[in-house]
Amino acid sequence: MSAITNNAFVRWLGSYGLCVTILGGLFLLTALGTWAQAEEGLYAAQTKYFDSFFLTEHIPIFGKTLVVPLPGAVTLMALLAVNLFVGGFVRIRKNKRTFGVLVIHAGIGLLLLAGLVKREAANEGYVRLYEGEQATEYRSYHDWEVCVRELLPKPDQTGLVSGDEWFVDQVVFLGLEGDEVAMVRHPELPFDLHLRHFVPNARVHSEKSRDSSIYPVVDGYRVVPDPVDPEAERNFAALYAEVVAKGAPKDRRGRAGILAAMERYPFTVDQDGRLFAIELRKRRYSMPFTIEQVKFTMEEHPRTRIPSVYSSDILRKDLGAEEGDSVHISMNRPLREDGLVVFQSGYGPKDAPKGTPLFSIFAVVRNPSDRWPEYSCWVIAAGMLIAFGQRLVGYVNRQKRVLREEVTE
Amino acid sequence: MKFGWQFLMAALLGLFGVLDAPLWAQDSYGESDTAAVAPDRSFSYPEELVHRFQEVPVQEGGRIKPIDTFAGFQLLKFNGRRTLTTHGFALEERLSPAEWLLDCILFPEQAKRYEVFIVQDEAVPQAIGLRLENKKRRDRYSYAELEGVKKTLASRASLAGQKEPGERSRLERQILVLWNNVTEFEDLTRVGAFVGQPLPTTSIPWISEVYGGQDVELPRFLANAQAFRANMQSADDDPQWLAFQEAYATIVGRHRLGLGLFPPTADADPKAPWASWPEISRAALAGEPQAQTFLPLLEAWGGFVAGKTSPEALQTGLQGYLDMVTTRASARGEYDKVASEVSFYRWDFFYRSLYLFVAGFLLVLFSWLGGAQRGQGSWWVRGSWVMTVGGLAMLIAGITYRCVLRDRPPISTLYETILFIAAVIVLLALIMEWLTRERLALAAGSFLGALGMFIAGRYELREAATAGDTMPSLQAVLDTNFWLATHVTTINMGYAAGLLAAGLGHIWLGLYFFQRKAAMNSVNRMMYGVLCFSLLFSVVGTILGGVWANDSWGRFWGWDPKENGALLICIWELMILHARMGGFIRPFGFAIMNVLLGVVVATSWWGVNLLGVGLHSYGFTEGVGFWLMVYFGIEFGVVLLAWIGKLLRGGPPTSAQTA
Repeated sequence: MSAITNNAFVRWLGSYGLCVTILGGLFLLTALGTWAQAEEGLYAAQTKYFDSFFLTEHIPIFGKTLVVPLPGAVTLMALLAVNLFVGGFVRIRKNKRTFGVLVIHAGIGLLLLAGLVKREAANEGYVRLYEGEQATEYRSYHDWEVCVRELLPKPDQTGLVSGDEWFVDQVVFLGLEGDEVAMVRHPELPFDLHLRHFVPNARVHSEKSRDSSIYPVVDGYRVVPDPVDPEAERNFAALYAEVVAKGAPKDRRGRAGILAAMERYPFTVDQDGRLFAIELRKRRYSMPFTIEQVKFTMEEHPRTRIPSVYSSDILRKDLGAEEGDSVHISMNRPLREDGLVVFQSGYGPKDAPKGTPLFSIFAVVRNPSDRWPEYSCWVIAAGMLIAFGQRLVGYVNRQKRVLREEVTE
Repeated sequence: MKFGWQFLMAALLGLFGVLDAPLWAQDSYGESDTAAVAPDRSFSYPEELVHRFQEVPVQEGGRIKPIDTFAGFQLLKFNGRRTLTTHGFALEERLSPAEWLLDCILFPEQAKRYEVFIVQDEAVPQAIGLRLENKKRRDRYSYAELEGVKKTLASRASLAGQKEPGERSRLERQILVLWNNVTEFEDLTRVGAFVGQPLPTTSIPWISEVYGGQDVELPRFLANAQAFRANMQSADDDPQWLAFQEAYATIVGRHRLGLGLFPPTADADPKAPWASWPEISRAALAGEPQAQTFLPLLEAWGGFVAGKTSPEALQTGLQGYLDMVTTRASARGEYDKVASEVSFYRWDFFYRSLYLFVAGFLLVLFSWLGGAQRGQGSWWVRGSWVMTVGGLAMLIAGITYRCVLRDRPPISTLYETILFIAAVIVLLALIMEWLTRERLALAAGSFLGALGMFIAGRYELREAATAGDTMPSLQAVLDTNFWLATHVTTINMGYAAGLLAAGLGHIWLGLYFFQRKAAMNSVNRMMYGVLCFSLLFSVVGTILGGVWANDSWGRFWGWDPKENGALLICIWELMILHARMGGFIRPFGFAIMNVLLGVVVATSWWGVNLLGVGLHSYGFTEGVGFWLMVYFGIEFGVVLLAWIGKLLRGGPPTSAQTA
């Protein structure tokens, strides 16, 4: 063993003690995060406990609140990966007896890697389609974006069509507090966009409404916050935007508007003779193909309201193509293509009377490590069979010997 | 004045217009049908008749099943038992579910006087204003006793029903249960209600003309529904017409779908549901042509019900109906498992295995009490082996039988997890006993097998109250035999081994108390082996679950409570093994952590279901929280006592002592 691997710190990094401590921390965190889901909602609790580096737990004791800082699951799993690498690969004795353990550790390593890749590179959302509708993009369940879309006159001057689009990711405005302003500038846009007052769940009310709030009035309306719903999908965010002409003096105010997720019409501005629509919406991702809903089938078990089957017949078309391939998607049978996976995840409207046209909900996921957990499963299983199999054979042989000796005596 | 048939339909179907109103907002079916005094049954049902009746097929809860299964779960739900003993009647009997249902259908007035509704707490009758002498705190009530306070019961149930399930008090939950049971019982008493109740078809001239001047019963009335509609000429303000409508409503009932007794014809849509007679009635009056295809069955059913005057007439009527219904159901491929299911419940596999496990445990217990002559190789131990293996064989046979009946792998419901886990525990324990011959694993296996069967019996009662069956129709996401056979089976094998390791942990602590060092060593090794087995299946099962979730919901891992529960087991087991390898725990700590593993497994198996959040909604559970807390309390008590014992003893045996 080299001097480096024998170094006290490296030894500690690969020690059983650290391993047990990390596992203990993960156990505690998983238990706390699971219980919190009933109170705080799935998404909020999962973000707090399982998608964080650190968190604070508020524990009420004798009428006071004790604030306990804890490492988040990301930190603990990073530490576990280090511990696994140092203790489970580098420092472990490598012989016939430990071969199975090495294989197990390799499988767990692959699993952790799959988690890391998913966290960093995956995205997911949904598409909702009635029969005859089609989609080329899917919407995030939770993430927001501001979309600035140029509106151009139709060639026959009978209306407007969408031109180029520019997007502002939610990281720009999500944490805005008080009077903080996020300034967004793009060389192709004739204005700067000033964003402020992000409210995660809100309605827009007339200033004459009885519901009041601390937020400013714009064109006779203001944002009134609602309690944040634990189910993140049910929240409708709002944001204040101000369009300031490029090069305008600093003290000059621009045109202000409210961007509300529930609004039917976007905030429109006319700048330098160009017309733009600005809206706050769930983040959208493009698909490399189009899906068209041909037929949705939902069957219930007879004389019950329990769905027995729901599935969709879709057309998968290349972008811009008229023709496509027929694909059947049902529960447990997704479409996997071009790095995307399209699942039959639900349908609606809920509790619709018989005969009502139903829409199909597809979950769409882009995850480069989609299949890695499955591979890791086989690796871990093989490793455990080797490791525990060796011990079992040894145990059985020893027991046979013991029983033989007892009979002889 | 002649009206269009749409007008009549609107009037007649208006009788069903209250369908969507809450049940408690309505009175019962027409009260007049309960007013007549009907004679009680004067004969016992012949065995052959009961057996034939058990095989009557019905469609209920999304599947075709024997009426015996339906009756069994209804009785279990109302009564808390599968049998009913009648008191105060000319014939004092112990009724089977089929006999009780026969009484509900044929002799409803008598069935209404059976004390069939179990009420868990005297607060319920007090809350609805029922004061009866000679009733215990927990007692059974008859429909006749409850009938007088039905309106109060309905209004209390209505108030309780408006609350979210989680916000209801225990009393409110019990009131709702009682109300639901009462209304379901009313439905049962109406399964033969149209027989012997002719419609007043002579009261109005134009109707009389259609029916040849006779008052006819429902099947004949429906057979001429087309002519009835064509001749319709009455007004809404005609008292005779209103009386006719009322008579019809009294017979058909106002708001229930009824029991799906009648299969469509073989050439009908293969997915078409079976019909109840109120549904047939409604369809016939609406002019739906397929309604007429049900009328021969309806008539045959009427013939059976009308034969209640004597066992012979009943037998003949039932045979006539069965011939017709089985021919039609068989032609649709919907009768092939009905008789097998009746046999399944007759065999009573799981109760028999419970008795065998108890006997196996008692025998091995006696073998310890008797000293060396009762030791390994004695008749006591051999007897325990026979009983435990017999119990396991019974259990496996029952599980296999269910697989055949359902065309499913062993586990697709929570109830089946109990059966499967118990079987795996006993099997593993027997293998260990075979290897060690120390009677410890035999004792653990037979005890845990008996405990598992006891819990299965109690849970079956709960399933009766909620799902009405232990073979319910599955949610679409579970409709995959591949994943049910792989992920679900694997993870439950992990649960089973984890619970066995916990059981062995208890035995080790017991041995530690008595300082049986050799046995402690042996159990320590067993615990290790079982723990490794559990880890293998828990990890593989958890990852397979992720792979399934990836195929169904689009993500491998979502930190969903049920997923986290499985992860907790894996982490805890990894902690135990690494703590043991690192020397942080000795055999004492190893046993303690294995005991706590049982708590972790129970949390994953049942506890997270109580949270009621996440995508695993098909596995949510209510009402087991109390018993789960009791179990946790006992286990933490065991751990505490063990630590106190260790402190008093001055520390655990050293590894040198136990090696």
